[in-house]
Parts: sequence; structure tokens; C-alpha cells
Amino acid sequence: MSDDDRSKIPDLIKIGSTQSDMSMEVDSDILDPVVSSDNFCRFVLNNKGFLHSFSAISIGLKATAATEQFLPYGIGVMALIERCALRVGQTTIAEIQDFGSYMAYRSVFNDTDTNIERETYLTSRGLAYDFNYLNGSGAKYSDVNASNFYLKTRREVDNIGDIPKLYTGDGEANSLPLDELETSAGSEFRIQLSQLFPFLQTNQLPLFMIDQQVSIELFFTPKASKKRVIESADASADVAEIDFNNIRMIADYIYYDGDIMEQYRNANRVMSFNYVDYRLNKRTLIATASNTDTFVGKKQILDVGGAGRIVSKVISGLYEDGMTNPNVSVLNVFQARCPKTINNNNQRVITNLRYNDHYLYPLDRDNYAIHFNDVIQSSGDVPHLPRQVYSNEGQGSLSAGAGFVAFNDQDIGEQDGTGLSGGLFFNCYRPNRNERINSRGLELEITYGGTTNFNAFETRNYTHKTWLEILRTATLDNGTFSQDFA
Amino acid sequence: MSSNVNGRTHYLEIQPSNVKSNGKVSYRDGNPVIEFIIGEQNTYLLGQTLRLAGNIQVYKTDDTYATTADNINVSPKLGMLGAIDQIVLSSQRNKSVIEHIRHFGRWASSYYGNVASKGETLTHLNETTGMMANPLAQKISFTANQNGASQTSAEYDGNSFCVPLTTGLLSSSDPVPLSAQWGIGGLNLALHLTPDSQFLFAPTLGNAYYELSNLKLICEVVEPAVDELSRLMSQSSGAMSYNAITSYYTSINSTFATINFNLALSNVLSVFLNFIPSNYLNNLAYDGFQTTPLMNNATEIAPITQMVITRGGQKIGFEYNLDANVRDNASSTIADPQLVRFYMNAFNKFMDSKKSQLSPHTTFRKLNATSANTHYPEGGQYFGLGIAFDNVSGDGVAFQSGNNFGVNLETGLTNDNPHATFIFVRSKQTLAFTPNGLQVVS
Repeated sequence: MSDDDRSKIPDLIKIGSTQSDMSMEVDSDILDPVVSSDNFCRFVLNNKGFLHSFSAISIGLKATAATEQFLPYGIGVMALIERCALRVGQTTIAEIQDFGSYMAYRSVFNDTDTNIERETYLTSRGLAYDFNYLNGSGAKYSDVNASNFYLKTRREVDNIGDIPKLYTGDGEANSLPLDELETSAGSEFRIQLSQLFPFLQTNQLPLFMIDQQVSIELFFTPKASKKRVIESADASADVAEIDFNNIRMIADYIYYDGDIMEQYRNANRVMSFNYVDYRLNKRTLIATASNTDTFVGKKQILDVGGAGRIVSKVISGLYEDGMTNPNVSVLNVFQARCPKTINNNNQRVITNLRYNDHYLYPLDRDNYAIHFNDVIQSSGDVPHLPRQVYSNEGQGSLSAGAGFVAFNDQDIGEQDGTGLSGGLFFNCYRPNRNERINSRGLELEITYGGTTNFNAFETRNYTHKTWLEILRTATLDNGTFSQDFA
Repeated sequence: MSSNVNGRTHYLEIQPSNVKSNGKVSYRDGNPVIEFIIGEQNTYLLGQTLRLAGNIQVYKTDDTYATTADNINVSPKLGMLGAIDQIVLSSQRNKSVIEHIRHFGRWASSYYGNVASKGETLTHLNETTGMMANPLAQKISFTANQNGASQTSAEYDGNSFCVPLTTGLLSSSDPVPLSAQWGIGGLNLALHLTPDSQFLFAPTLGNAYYELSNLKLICEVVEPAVDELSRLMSQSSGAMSYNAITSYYTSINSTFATINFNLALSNVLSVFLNFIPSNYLNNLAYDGFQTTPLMNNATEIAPITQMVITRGGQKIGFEYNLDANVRDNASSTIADPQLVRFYMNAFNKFMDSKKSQLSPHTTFRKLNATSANTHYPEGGQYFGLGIAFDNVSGDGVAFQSGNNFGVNLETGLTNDNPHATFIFVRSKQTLAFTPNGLQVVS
């Protein structure tokens, strides 16, 4: 086949590169897992057509008698999955560890209106904010003044006849989602494959060209960890069970007309494409009740890996893995914590990234708005997070009980520094010098809080998690898949 | 010139060149202008990555933090952005002014209402600018922020911010060459601060002021690859195009208001206007960034009943007299849909506009005299007029050679209440540069 002929064949694995007038058919299969247990299941795909990236896995919890029990607010049904892997034959193409923690980062880019209008029902993610038109602490509803903001849950409609109750946060109105989202309803939700494996947002797998078994493996969050759900009080989170009678995959296969697929196969007997995968690095940081042994206020130099790789992005956060009862926090453990305020004073976070003997930033970053801007610049999208939720700034001077996020005085709240306030603080770095990382790897330097303010964090263990977005190359050689680092 | 310059990118962090030794800047203490210098160097500046960052704190009197109990606030439309009055970009090498945006706060008070949703003011704009689209929420979270008030455990003062400087040159997707040989010869950036009396709304606190600290510019620059640099070094001239913002000011005080300007611009894409009673400006008793409708007094709107846009005396934009709904029904409280649509169209193509804060809550035709006309839901009133001349080709229309821009308004402005009128023009401009100097072709 000549080069001219090849140029007429569209790059069918790249989403968006097909012509708009090209006809295609979509065939959907409903697949049950071939293996499943309490903590694991595997789906095997049929080797036909192109795998549509928006194919989805439906999953939910068994209906229980538990009341006021929901999937975690920030990541919804993603909390059920601890690890996911896409394998072709014996080759792992993509894998994300601590998937829930990773999705805590990914989910902040959803517009709040998207969350309440769509994601509430698709994934049970519900972080949507609105003004609380309450004219000061303890005052009545106002049609002008909003003294704080709260999570919008549609409960407002339930309580429209009792406005004072709603706006003073008396009861569940402000904090709890709709009844159908309670685990007692046994609702099902959907996770798209492109959410499990982000490279599928731009690529679709040519299954018909692969001779090996293509499988998707899900490792579930252990129920005893209490990380699957949130509750208004610690009750039965450790027995929340996935409904294996209803877990299935809706696999959509795309077919193109005429000879185009055969031409594509013949033209790409050996094909390669680049994609990104995520590598997790974890480090335990211990906060103690004194200024001597704690990590607070001390520069942490973390070797986070990446030696010899091309790293396009670094994502990090200080996760709340050490809570005894994470189920009573609105975000469960899927939160990246910012230092608490002390005497209304915000505590700095100072950071930089060092690689190839040079720092990424000429001076350390020490300003929360710059941290936030770096997330925007690194991710190419804006996090939809209020200032108080990201960095604990802007809390105002209202007395306790009327704090800026209405969650502060709710059951699922912030009393122990585990609520929404300062709960989604991520840092992102984009190594931008077009360099491969040398053998020393990346060194992430970060200082949480002031040197004398150990109480900026609760006394417990935290896990500093860092994902490296690494460029990889996949090769499909006459039906056999292989992958390597770029 | 492509924005995908082949080369190595790295970050810059620029400190201001004229701050006091304590690093604090305030209009009150005699620092009305902050200057930054991005020196001449063989790199491209990625203008879209440039941010002004620092901290801002509001004081009700000398070194005393404002609290929620104090009657003091900043505009909920702007947050920190209201502190910037003018942005002047010039060449470091030959001092030629490239772009000068006046009344930046007035421009931004309309702009963000038209391009950002209420949800965005609660989220990413809240984090980067401190903006929050409700007066009380703005006050609690920003103006009365107590960070730094207690010396115990204090690390820094006030609110963090990191804002883009939205000028035509810096918003362009084309990178800005900083070289003396093949570019503009470095960039000087001067920020004129807004007076306290304009930035703050503090009717009972005559000594209220704001203070900036830890100021810096952050940005990314690209070092061209060696082969490209070699080619550039032999280049004797260059040019880049961008959509610039030009501002004009006038006042109106009549039932038949005529605005007429020689714009002297050849590629005008759109124009919008916003209004405010003149006595609200630079007056602590009022929020000077309100975008009000015309008002006879604190309780009575002076409705615009007809609008005609002209170029050189001929109608342009729409070939008819735009009669507003209130012309037929004087008691209507509903905003005229055509005026709103044309106004929004001046920022984005109306059909492509996915988000804004213009809603029945913010455009309804009713005044609330409470609290100096600030007592409104969401970000307050979003009134303005606008017209887009070219949403197709991107080349715009010429307002030169005596073809003046005109707006003719029939209003109900029967009282003696002059209104400041701010006019902002978006036009395509070209910056041409040689080692000997710069020229802006507008």
C-alpha cells in the first residue's frame, strides 16, 4: 500500500479524527464478570470492533436497612474501587492504584452544576455549592444576603414550606442528598471506562485487531475499612456490600462501514501509539502532639520516582488515611488536607519540585492562590472548588456553628478537621523543560504549616500520595500487544 | 507566529521594582503604581500564563482589621480585581507604550458577569480573585478575613490572590517575543492602583484602606531551540496581532443622551457601555463598581426606551430604532431582552454563550435604596449596553476618517443626576517591532 493510500485511511483509534460523514454502527454487549469475589471482579471483552471509551460498568451497593448512609460526596461510586487494571494478555496496559484518592483529584474539575444535574445520578458525586441566604448567624432567611454557602442537594425542595428550618441547617436539609441516593434504596451507578483508564479519553482500542484476551480487573475497597460509604453516625459502614447480582459491563463496540476496517488493519499491522499512565508513590507522615516529632512545619523532601521517564504531570495531596471512623466524614478518606487555621490564621504550604538538578520554580511556591493556579496550568482545566474548600482561606469571622461552609455544624462535618473545609487541597506540577528525568528521579519538596504550629493537623497518620503521569508507548504487532515506557 | 514555539519552557517569578522595604503596598501610603520589569531576553513570553499574585488585606483604620461587624465591603463582582485601576504595558528597551487599559475595574465588573457563572464565582474565581457573587458573603469571606489579625501563629496577612492581567497583548495565544533583536525588547508592566475610596464601600469608615503584600508576577517563557534562535537572530522585524481593549469615558444627564467618539480604530469587533451615577465614583459611601441602570434617584429608574448605534451618522449593528419594552409598558420590571442579548453578544457570540450571571435576579428593573443601592441578590445589578460588529470574520469594522462611533439613547433621565458612562471597545490591533522601535497599528 502506498503512502498516498495510507493517508486516506483515518486514524480510527484517535477519538475525533474520523470524518463527520463516516457512518458507523454501535453494538452493545451486556457482560457479566467472569470472576467475582468480595474484593475482586474481572470482565473479559469480546475482540470485535473498536471499544467505545464511554462503555461503562454499572455497580451499586446492596439495599440495607441503614439510614442516612450514602456514597462519599466527592467521588461517589468510585469509592468502591481501590485499584483498576486494563490487561491485554499478560501485559498491563494501564493501572491506577488508590483509585478513589486519584478520583478525588479528578472529580474537582466537574462543574458544580454538572455534579448536581448529572453526576448525582450517574456516579453519586454531589459536590455542588450555592449561597445560603441566611442574614447572619441565627438570623432569618434573607432574599439578598447570603452569610455562607452550603452544599446544594435538592433537599431545598423538600423543605420549601419550612424555609427557616432549611436555612438554619436544622436537621438534614443542608447536608444530605436525596433519598434515592441512600444505600437503603439499592441504587446503581455507572463508571465509564475512560474514568477508570484516562488514556481512553483520547484513544479507543481496536479490539478486532488484538488476538489476546482483553480484560478489565477491579479490586474493591474492603468493606471493613469503612471507606465505601459515609454515614451520619458510625453504624454499619463496615458491612456495606456490593451487589454482585447487578454488577455488569455495558460494552459498546464501534464498527465502520465498508472496507475501512480491513484497510485499517492492513495498514496498521504494526502500530504504536503514546498514552499516559499513572504511577503512585506513597509516604506516611505522622502528626504528633508536639512540635518536635511531627511533620508539620518541617520540609519534607520526597523521592517520588520517575527516573528515566518522561513525566508530564505530578499530582500530590496529603490524604486522611489515618482516621478511625472515616465514614462519618463527608468525603470519607478521599480528601487531601490543607493545614487548619490557628487563631483564624491560615498556615502556609511551601513547595517546589526538583529534577535534573534544577528546581521547577525559581522560588518556592508559598501562596495558596498560586498553588491553585498551578493546578489549573498543570491540568489544563479549572478546579471547581471554593476557597475555603481548597485552602481554608476566607473563613470570615463568624462564630462557631455558623462557619462558612454549612457543614461545619452538621453531623457529617468538620469538627475533627476531616470535613469539607480545607478538604480538597491538591498540588500539581508540570515539568515543562521537555527533559527526560535523570536517574535521581523527581524530588518533591513540601512544607505543611508553620514551624511552631503542630496543631495545624490532627494527631494521626497521614499518607502523602503522589501520582506521576508518565508517557508510555503501546505497540500492536500482528495482534500481539506490548507496552513500554516512552 | 505559532503559539507552539519549539523550545524549552521555564518559569519566571518577577518581584516589583518599586516597593518599600517591608514589601507592602497601598494607595494610601503613597504607592499608587507598582512596576514590574520582564527584562529583554531571547525568549518568548507566554502571555496567557502571566499572573499577578500576592496578598490583600482590608483595614477599617490604621492597622486594624475590618470585621463582619463593620460596614465595609468590596465589590462582589470583582474581589481583588477592583484594586487594579490601569494596566500599562510598554517596551523596556525604548519605553513605547504597547497597551494602556484604563478603568480596568469598571471593565472587569461587566466582563466577569457576562462570561462567568455564579458557580464559578463561588469556586475557581473565588480562589484566584477572592470574588464571591453576594455582598454579605463577599464581606465575610474577603473583606473581614481575619487571617493575620492575631499575631499568635500568624504566617501572612489577608487573602491570597493570583489573577490574570486581562489585556489584549497578554491574552493573545501568540507568544510575546522579549528579545531586543527580534522582539519588543523586554516588557515593563505598570499597575495603577485604585484609590481606597473607589475600591472600598465603607460609608461610616472614612479611614478605611487596603494593602497589598508579597507581590510578584509569575509567568512562563520559552527559550527557542538553537536552530530556531539562529533563524530569529537574523530576523530584522516582526509583528503580532491581538484583540485589544480600549476605554473611553463620558457622562450623560439628559432624556436624549448622545455619545459620540472618534475611536480611530480600524478593526472594531464590539463595544459595550456600563453606567453608574457619577457621585457613586470615588466615594466611600457607595460601591463604585456597580453597573447600575440609569437612575433618577435612589428609588426610581430612568429607563432607556430607545437605542440607536451609528457609525459616521449611519445606523450600524441593527438597521432600526431599538425600542425597549418599557417604551410600551412603563411599569414593566422585566429587562428588555434585545438590550440584554446585544449586551451579552458584545462579549461572546450569544448563541455560544454557555454561562453568565445575567438573570432575572440581576437585570430586573427595580431599585432597592437600602445600603446605598447594594442590597441585591447574587452579584448585584448587571446592567449595560453593547453591540458586536463582527462575530464572523474577526476583522471588525473601521471607525476612522471621521466615521465616529455614536450611541443615541432615549432615556427617562429627568432629574439632574449625571451618570458616568464607561465605553470599552474590543478591536484587532497589530504590534510591529524592529530593533529600532515599536509601532501599534490600530
